Amino acid sequence: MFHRHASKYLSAFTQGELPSSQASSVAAHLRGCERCQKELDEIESGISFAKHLPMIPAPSSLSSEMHALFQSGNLTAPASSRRRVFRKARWLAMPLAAAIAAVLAGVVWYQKVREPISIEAAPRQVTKLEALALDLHLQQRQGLQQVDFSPEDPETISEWALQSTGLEVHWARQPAGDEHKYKLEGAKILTTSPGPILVVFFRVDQIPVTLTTADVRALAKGEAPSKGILRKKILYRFDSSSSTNLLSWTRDDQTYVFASDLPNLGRGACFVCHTNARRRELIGNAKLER
Amino acid sequence: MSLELTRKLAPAEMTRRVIEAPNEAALLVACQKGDSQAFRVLFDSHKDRVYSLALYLSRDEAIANDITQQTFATMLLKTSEFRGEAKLSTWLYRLVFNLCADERRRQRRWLPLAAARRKESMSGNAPQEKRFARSEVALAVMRAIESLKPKLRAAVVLKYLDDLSYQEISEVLGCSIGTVASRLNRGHKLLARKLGYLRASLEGDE
Repeated sequence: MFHRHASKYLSAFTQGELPSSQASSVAAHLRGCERCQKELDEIESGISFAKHLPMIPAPSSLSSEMHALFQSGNLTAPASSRRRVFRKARWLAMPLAAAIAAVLAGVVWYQKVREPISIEAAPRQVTKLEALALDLHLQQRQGLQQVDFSPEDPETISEWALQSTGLEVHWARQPAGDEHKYKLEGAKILTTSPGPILVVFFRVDQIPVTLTTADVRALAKGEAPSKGILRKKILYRFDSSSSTNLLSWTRDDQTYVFASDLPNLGRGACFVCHTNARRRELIGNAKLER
Repeated sequence: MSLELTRKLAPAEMTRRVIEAPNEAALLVACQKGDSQAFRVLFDSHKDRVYSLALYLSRDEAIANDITQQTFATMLLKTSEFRGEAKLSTWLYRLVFNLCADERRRQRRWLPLAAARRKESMSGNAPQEKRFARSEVALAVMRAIESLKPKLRAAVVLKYLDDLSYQEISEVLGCSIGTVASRLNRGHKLLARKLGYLRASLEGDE
């Protein structure tokens, strides 16, 4: 009956509003769940306070006024203010209908984009930053990558990157049990005339992943991915010449590219940042097909 | 106008009792025919609960007065809509709830300033009942309940003003029983947190 806890049934349980079968389930759950027992205590306390809610007698003047109005035959309700509102709002009907149509169109569109998106191979039709990520990724595959910084503690990478380049990379502390799935191999900074490019090499389940990132304002026009947004502002591409998945996105004026051979379009790389279990599940279950 | 809390609060045992006349449908018909005695019986049976609900929902004494008046006027005009399947009180609460919702919408559209002013506590005046522990709890409960969000407040007030079942509350509010359960759950938790400091006083009282 419960996914985890009986929280939302506790008031109904206490006040005898649950069918007996559900009440038995809640009672059985409560016997073994300390958290729900605590919540039950809290709810019972709230109920005991609420029972002191006082009724406030109507003013005596209201009674005499009402009886006088009744006897005089003048006790009639004013026209429903709700109807008046609708009458006044008739001129709003057309814009309202248009807005509803727009919302419906949006829903239809959303349903459409929820369908699996087919990612076609786009050999070398990539931006310069993506091309750089591909080249560096090939080096990483062959174990030829060169790094400037290889911290033991992955969390220091964010601070180092920010201080050295002003670029942000986020390497979150991994949930228990996942720590060993993500191994940082090192990072380096490429100095280019428009601005620095940060490269981070790491592995997910032993599979190499290359991250390149740069300030979108520092890249010449056309270097940052600017079209082909397929799903939630993330551009998914597959480079057939190198059998590599590319994930590109831009956030807060910074462009990122993941190049990897990970399955599932390389979305496992996203989990270095997204550590929330629910978020991971959503990313993993998103309907995308190569 | 803020509510004067020097007014005597109705005794708890009396407030909980629902005075449902057995022949309310007949009384309603008599009212329509101009029987002032029948109207007096119905009005006196329900006026306090109707007024209390209107006051808790609107948090304004003048509006509560108006809504009480409109509720009974609507009752007379729409007698044919009352089929006797539910309690008359439940039907009246539904009218109160709708009138309060209309009033809130009207205020949002035309009277934002007045509405903002009304957000001041309806129980803001220093109550003389503070001398009595029982009243102190009652007044603290009033304040805590008025600070709840309207949807939670409506569910809690309907539950404890007239001890309505979840089914009846769902009929008044026009929502599912599950929604009522959820709102009461949240309401109870918030009340426990807001009034935790009074627990000792409550236990002493009981």
